Formats: sequence, C-alpha cells, structure tokens
Amino acid sequence: MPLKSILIFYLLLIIANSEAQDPLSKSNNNNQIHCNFMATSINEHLVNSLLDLENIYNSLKNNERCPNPPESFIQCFKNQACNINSSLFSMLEPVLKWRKLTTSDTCGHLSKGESDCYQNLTQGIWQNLVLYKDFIVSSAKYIFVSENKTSNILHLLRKMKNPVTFIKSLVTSILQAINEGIKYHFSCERWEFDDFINHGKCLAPATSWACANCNQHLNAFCGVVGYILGQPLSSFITGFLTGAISGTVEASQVASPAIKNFFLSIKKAKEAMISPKNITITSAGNVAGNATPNLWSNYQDAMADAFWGGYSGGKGLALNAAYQTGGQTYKEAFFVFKMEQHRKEVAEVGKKYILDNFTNNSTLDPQRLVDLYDEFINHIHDINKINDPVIRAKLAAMYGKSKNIQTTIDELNTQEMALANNFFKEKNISTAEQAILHSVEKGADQVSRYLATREVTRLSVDLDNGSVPVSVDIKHIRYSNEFGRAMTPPWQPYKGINPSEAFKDMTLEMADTYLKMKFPTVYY
Amino acid sequence: MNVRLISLPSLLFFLSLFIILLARTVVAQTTFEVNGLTVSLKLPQNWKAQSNIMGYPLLLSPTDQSTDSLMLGITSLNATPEADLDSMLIDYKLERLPWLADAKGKLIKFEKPAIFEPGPGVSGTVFGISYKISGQLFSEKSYYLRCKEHSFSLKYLISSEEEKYIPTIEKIIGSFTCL
Repeated sequence: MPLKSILIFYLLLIIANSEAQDPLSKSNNNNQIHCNFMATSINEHLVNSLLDLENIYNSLKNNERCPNPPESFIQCFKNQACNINSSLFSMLEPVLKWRKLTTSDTCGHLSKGESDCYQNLTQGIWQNLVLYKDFIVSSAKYIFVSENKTSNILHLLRKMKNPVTFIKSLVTSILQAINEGIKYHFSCERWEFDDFINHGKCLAPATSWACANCNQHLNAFCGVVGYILGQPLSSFITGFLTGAISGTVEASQVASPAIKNFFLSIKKAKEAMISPKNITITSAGNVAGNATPNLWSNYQDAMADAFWGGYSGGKGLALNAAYQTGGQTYKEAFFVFKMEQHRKEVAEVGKKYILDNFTNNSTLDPQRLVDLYDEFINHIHDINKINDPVIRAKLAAMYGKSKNIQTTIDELNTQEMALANNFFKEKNISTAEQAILHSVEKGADQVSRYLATREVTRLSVDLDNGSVPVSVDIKHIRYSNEFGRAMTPPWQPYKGINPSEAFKDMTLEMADTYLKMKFPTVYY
Repeated sequence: MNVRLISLPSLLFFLSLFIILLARTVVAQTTFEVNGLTVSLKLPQNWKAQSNIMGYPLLLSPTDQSTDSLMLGITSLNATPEADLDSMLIDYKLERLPWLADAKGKLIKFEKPAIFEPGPGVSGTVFGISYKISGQLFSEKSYYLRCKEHSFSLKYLISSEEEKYIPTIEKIIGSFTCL
C-alpha cells in the first residue's frame, strides 16, 4: 500500500510542473465544476510494492531521451482530480447551506470502480478537515491535540466565501504536494541544505520523470497517496487553510517540512539498506548485504515502525531492532538514522542552552563548556553503543538470553556512566562542569524525545481517524530513566537539590530553547 | 406653564422604535445541545447558532454576512487538562508551534495561561496565542471548562479587524452554564 502511494505522489508532482492549466474545469463559470472526461482505469497498473516504484523510476532514469512524447501529469490526472473535487464539494454541503453559499456541481459523486487510492485521498482530505467526535470526546491526556484541528476548521470557515474555487485550489495544491513528495523521495539530486531542522528546496531535480507516461504517473500517485494520509496531509492542509500555500506556488515550495522530513527518513533508510558500508554488524554478527526484494517488501513496515516508535522509544526499541537479523536489517538502518537525528538534536539544543545560560557566568567559560558538551555527547550517546560491534554482540547475547529489556538497558546505562566517567577523567573536568554536562544532556534528551513522542501521537490520531491515541504518560516520558538518567542521578545536578524540581525547571527552559531551534521560522 | 405634550401617535412611534432597538440588543439565555449535553448561553439577538458543522457540535456566529466568518466553537470533552499551568503551557506550545510552522506564520505571543471562573459551578483554564499569517494578525483563545462533572472546550479565532467583537464573545463565554 505505501508503495502504491509513492507512485501516486509522482503523478501529482508532474501535474504541478506542467503548464499553468486548470484541469479541473472546462467551464468559465466560477461556480461550477464540470467533469467531461472519460474515466481512466488504472486498476491493471497498480503498484504493489516500493520495488515496483523503484523499477519505474530506474527504467525512466536509464532513458536519456524520452522514447515517446510524454503526456503531462495534468492531462493524465484530470478525471481523478475532478472526481475528488466533486466528492469533497458534496461533503461540504451543510456548511454551504448554513452560510447561504450556493453553487452547482455537475460532477456527481466519486465514480465507483475506480482505484481505491482516489477514494482514500478524498476521505483523507475530508478527515483532515473535520473534527472527530469520538476522538474529541475520548481524548484526555492529549487534550491539546484537538487545538490544531479546531484552528483548521475555524480558518476553513473563514475561507468559504467561494467554495468551488476553494476546493479546486485545495485539490490542485495537494496534487502538487504529492508530486513534490515523489520528487523528494526519488528524484532530487541535490537539496539546498540538509540539517536536522531544515532541508530547503530541491536545487537539482532529476528530469527523468518528465518522460513518464500516464500509467506511470497514475501509478506513482497511487503508490504514494497512502503515505500522506497521516501527518503530512494534515500538515499540508494547515498550510493551505491558513493561506501559506496556494495552488499557484512553485512545486518546490509546496511541500511542507513534515512531508520533506517524512520522505527524508525513507530516503536515508533506503540508502542505508542499499549500501553495505552503511549497514552495521547485526546482533548475530552478520553483515547485511545489498537490499533484496524481501527487504523492499518489508520496507513499508519500517516506515510504520519509525512513525509509531521512532527514536522516542529509546533503548527498548533500539534493542529490538538491533536484535533482529537478516531481512529485518532495514529496521535497524532506520533506527540508526533516527538515533543519529536524535543525537544531533540533543547536541545542538544543549549547546544553545549552554550559550544562553552561561555566557555571563564569571567562573565558567561557556565556549569550553560547549566544546566539552559536544565531545561528551559523542562519547556517551546510544548511537555509539548500537554501532559498536563488541557492545552489540554483548547486548544481543544478553537480550537474546533473557529477553529482559530492562536488564539490558541497565547494562547499557552502566556502560554509559563508565564512558562518561572516563571522559571526565581524561579531560580533567571539574565537578561543577560535570554537573552541567550531565544536566544539560538529560534536559535536552528529555525535551527532544518528548516532542518526538508528541509528533508520533499526533500521527497516530491522524492514522486512526480519531481513535484514542496511544497512551503515553507525559511525565513518564519527560522524566524517563530509559537512557540512564534516573530521577535521582548518581551525579549532582547543577540546579537545586531536589532532582525532580531541578529538572522540571530546566525542562521548561530547555523546551523553549528546543522550540526556538526546531521551529525557527515562527519566531521573529 | 405651558407645556407642549408630545402627541400620542408620536409617542407610540418612539416607543416602538425604542422597543425595536432594545430587542436588537436584548440577550436571551438560550439552551443548546452539545454532544448530548445541554448547555446554556446568553446569545445576542444578532448572533446565530448551528449544530454539527464539520464535526463541530455547536458554532456561534454573528448574523451579519460581512462578519459571519467570525466563529465561536463549542464542543464537549471527556476531561479537562489537569496539570500545573506551566506544564500545560509547554504542551500547548508543543502542539501549536508545529502548526504555526506549517501555516508559515509568525508567533506574536502565547497568552499566559490563567484560571477562568465565570460563575458558580463553572471553572477552568484559558489559553491563547496570537500570530501573523501573510501579514494578517489573528488571535485564538481556548477555554477548557468544567461544569457539573462535564468538560467543554470553547474556542474562538478572530482577526485584528474583528477585535471589536471580543467583548461580545467574552460575554457569551462568561454566560456559559450547563443544565
């Protein structure tokens, strides 16, 4: 299904790059949607796996010249786009009636017998536009999850003066975003930048997709549509409703950070799978080879795991991944990538926090602290342990024997403290500096994982269409000892005597630091 | 003293006018259904209500078409947030900032969360955020209220041009009770 979704994205991307032509209307009447096109069946061309999608891409890439004049994406997709418009339009009827907004729709409801992917997209758009009564009523811990949804609705209702234009523009924009997503996944050679906060624009898009025919376009669309039905679509619709995205912006500007981040994760995992040098030794001591069809067929599971567990799961999930062998290596690659991301966040947020809080300190040198902190993170963070074949073999043996995650985590934590103490000794680090390094790392780690958990929660809400989200205790996450930093640490925290109170204050301050770094665009 | 009295027809005319003007501003306590629960609000005459729009159980809006995009949404919840205000503010920020980033907006400020007790039997907290999107200033306020063992969310979104309606909306929210 995810494979199928990627293909759909491709298709939409091409539409976005075609000339400024409105495929959704044959009429000059702004209040009408007409669908005069013959339905195009794509059922016989459905893509069943990411491997199929990759094959399409590779076949195109090998053609330096297009053998046949390509059909534009916009032409290929006009029937489907019109049907999506029409379907959404009829869903909005109660709003139009209340606001006394009239229009006519000659398109009818979504045609039966078409691929499910269009219906999925239509439903996904709709579900991102409305509240879920069951969710609203049943959500307790994540009460603020509904805040963004209600904001979307209130913004949407402000924009309904011309509903036909609105819907057409929304659908066109989503198609463009999907197209961008496909480009991001497969066919962008070079990106503006590639740090953990922002990836920028695609500076060197591959041109091979311009050679795709209609079947390839449609398949690409259906291949990726499933991927966007969760957080990426939700994120995109927010941008659209609030006016940040319109149907006329260039494709490279359309994709939201969420979409880009999503595809970046997939891309990294894919690269890790394909390249043996990037595959670390497995817990059983084997070295993973090139990706096989089996790996590809399991690829979609890796993405689901990453979203549901991600690095927010910490050691437990990492251990599970590390213990897997053979065909499960893709999971490991994914987790290693996620943990690398996490380490970068902990490092960057911690350094910023130190500079913000110790610059005016007369007894401590903030730049020395920053440099030490950077080294400290590189010494102790879990990514090193997961990548270290000796440690991995030891952990795998322990985990495989006892199946007791906590016991294994305790062992990891013991090693972590030993690494930290050696580091402090080697660098001749004072007790006061040790307290700062430990405390800042703990705070940055907690805040970083807490936000990641929140993102997973939001995604789960989207994916479940309103069911009760995964139960995660916020305080447990915030003060988790999973990474070896217990509520009562064996070292002295630099703030206060009561560790709980000290870290609460620090967490609040660190959260603001983190948020300013994570979402720099929202701050003046 | 020769006092000229107003004629009876004139008196009736002005009286009628007064009553009409009064009627336009009279606020009536009105009951509404919100997810099976009955709530009561003082709704001005020039406001309208609609149930079940896009999943919102109750939406209130001015009747004037030039401002009918201004909305106060009301829904029930199964619980209200129960943490200290600082922690809740972090949660609120963590929820809203990614949204604002998606909206390509700029943060003006988060309102300091506060306890809100409009009247006997109703209490809760209020959160708020102001931001700019495409140069336009918006403010949101969210009230999480408990009333007779039930929880409710009341929320409005308003642009800077509509700020004159804030006192009216706050009055409506302040009149909230449940039956």
